[in-house]
Amino acid sequence: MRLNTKTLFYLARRILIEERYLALKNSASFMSRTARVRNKGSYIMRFVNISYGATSLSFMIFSLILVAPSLISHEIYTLSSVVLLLFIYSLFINISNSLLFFVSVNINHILDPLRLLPVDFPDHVIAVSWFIYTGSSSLFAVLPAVFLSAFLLNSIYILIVGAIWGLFSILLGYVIGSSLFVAFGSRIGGRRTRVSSILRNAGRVIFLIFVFAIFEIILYNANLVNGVIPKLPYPYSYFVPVFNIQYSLFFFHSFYSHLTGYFISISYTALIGLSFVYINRRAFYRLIEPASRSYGKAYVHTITRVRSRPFSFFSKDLKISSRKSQNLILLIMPIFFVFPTIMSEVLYAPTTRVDPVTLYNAMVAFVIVTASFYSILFLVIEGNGISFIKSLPLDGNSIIRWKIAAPTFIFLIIDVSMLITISIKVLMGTPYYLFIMVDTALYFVSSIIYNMHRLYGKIPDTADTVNFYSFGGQIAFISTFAFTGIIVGSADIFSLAVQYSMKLDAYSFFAINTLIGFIALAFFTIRYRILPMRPGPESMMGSDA
Amino acid sequence: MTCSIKLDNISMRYGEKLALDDVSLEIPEGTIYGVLGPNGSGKTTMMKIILGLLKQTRGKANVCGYDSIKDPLEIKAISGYVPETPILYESMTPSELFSFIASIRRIDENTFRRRIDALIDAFGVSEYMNDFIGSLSFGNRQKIAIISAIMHDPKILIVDEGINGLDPRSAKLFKSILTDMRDHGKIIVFSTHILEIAESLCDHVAILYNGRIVANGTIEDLRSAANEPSQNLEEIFLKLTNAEDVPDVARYLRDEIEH
Repeated sequence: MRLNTKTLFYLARRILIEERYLALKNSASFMSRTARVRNKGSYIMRFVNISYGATSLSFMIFSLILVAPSLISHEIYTLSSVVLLLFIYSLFINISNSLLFFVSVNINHILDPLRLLPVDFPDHVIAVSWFIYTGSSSLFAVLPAVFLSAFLLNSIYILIVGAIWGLFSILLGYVIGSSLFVAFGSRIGGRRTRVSSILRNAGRVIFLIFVFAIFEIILYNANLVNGVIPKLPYPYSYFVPVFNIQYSLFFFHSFYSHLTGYFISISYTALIGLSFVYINRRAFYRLIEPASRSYGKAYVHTITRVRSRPFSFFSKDLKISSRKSQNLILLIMPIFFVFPTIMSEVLYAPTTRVDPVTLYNAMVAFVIVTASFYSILFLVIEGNGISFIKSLPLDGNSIIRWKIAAPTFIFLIIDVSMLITISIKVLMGTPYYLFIMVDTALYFVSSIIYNMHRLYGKIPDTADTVNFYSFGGQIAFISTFAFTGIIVGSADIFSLAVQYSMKLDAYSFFAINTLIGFIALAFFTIRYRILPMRPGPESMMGSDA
Repeated sequence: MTCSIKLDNISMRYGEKLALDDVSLEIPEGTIYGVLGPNGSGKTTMMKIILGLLKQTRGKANVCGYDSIKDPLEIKAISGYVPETPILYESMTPSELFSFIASIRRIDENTFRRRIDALIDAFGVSEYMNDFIGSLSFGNRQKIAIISAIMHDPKILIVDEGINGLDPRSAKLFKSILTDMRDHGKIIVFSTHILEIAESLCDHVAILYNGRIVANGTIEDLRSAANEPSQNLEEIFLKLTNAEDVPDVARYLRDEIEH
């Protein structure tokens, strides 16, 4: 039995609603809102529509902001580069969204109930679902720019070919995203292989950094755009996919070149359409075939070792934070928040010499964002495991004491890498860099001790799971940022005030700041008994002796 | 030192809902104590209070000399818990999880290795030791949860529907482990909906209904309490939990489906 078109669209909508519902169902705000709603089904659909509208609107605003300067100044070359960047952006968004959609449908077994029904499901149901409610929104990132360019240059050709390339970027994004799913989709579905896990996660991080770097660059230095885009010589400029969008849209003036432009854009879209048919089928069958279970292999004796409690906690936190893609994304999120601040204050500075206090102040933003974010994140990564941890003989102080190790380790890696990278451009002297490293570390640890303690106390005894809403949703975020800001910022302001009022040099600023940092750390360590005062209860059956 | 569990007038309230209402009981060492009751009757709440995972609203819970509110860590150190649904870190492998638990519970390396090798072999999960827990079937995850709960040889084992999802061999093995633990003086608090298992395994049974204990004692005591000396545990359970109309409901459903 095959599905008719109406049922296909119903099913596509159902899959998306299910996916969104599973993401939201544990949130306190969602539960309290739906509790008041009579028709819960239509509430979720309304939520999906509003999300789609908001995403499309933000894409449209983003697109208009980027093209406005070159439209006003009639700089066609810059305009063409910006439009190309928007297409690249749309492509990356579609790769990322389609991959995440497949992963989500797979992990949550959303197609499982359908497999029981006596229906031959069309393999494009996932593609339809993704396109209608997710992929099509990326058109709003490119089409406004294309429309305005067509209007400015009075060219219907740009409008038509731009729309074809828009469709192309969606199809290509979906094809790449679904190919990645076919290649790497079984990550949590089988055996742990240390090297491949690390490689895949490193690949994800690099990919994300690349995507965000494009944004940051064009947002903070639009003039870089022309330099960033490779100038491909003829005939590559016509034929290298994606990069040829710029030429085919803006630099084909004659009738024959228009014909070539139509031919190239339609040919590429048709080609990618054929790839879509092939890879979509593979991805769909990957989803509906029950291949996610592990059936085991011959037992290879693994070295299972009993470590110290702090190390085992540290190791556990690193594993559960780095093996799930969504946690990995959240781990590197603070970098993207503060990257613009550091870029604008340091990397785009007119000279290579920067005041060390200015650099420290830029890094303070990184400490505040990271300490606040990681305090919440490293509690949230416990997820359902919170009930498991609570059944072990551990008190809250011990849990926090051992939990600060993993975020501090990750923070230090990012912090030191950032400072080393900055030191390549900014000449400042090693002592200042060391001061900044020590100070940022001190204030990070102090803030995370305080915040984690405060937030852990908010997890109710009855909690079987912990998520971002366990601490009160947005209010928790705001208050955590505020508290961290007070800890880090007040020390910074006090040190600055002393330095200026007494006309001291930068070394004095750092000496005062470091001293306050040590005092703050000592205070929080004693206040929250981070140093163990007495040994915790032992297992009475620790050994057979 | 003898070890027993004593609940005195325990009540537990979740907001407006009274989950446990004045529950008192005593479980001596060397006992498998069955807790039966319909869904939502308060079984899991009672078990979590014994473990120190939940703080009761009223009453006292004493576990092997430790107060559940004042000394929850001491209770957790001597207890193991098998929850109804195996909640474990899905992105860890069983091998990593066992190492983690051994480190937290401070089990020495040799003892840990000997016990783990024996347990994973007995439960037939040795080939999954390097797989992500999230990729295992429900039954295998349940076995991992059971091993996690007994690897430190606890004095008290709380099993909340822990046989669910086990294959017959593993279920039989687990029941044998429980009786062996009982014979070595341990206390096992065991909840199940499979009344045949409770009947064959438990020394004492308590039936919870709407947060209250409506019957408590050996199977023989329950038969006497129900005034039905020849009835099996299922019939006694249905009578004590006001569910005797089940055959009538089934008949009504059949009629509705057929017409």
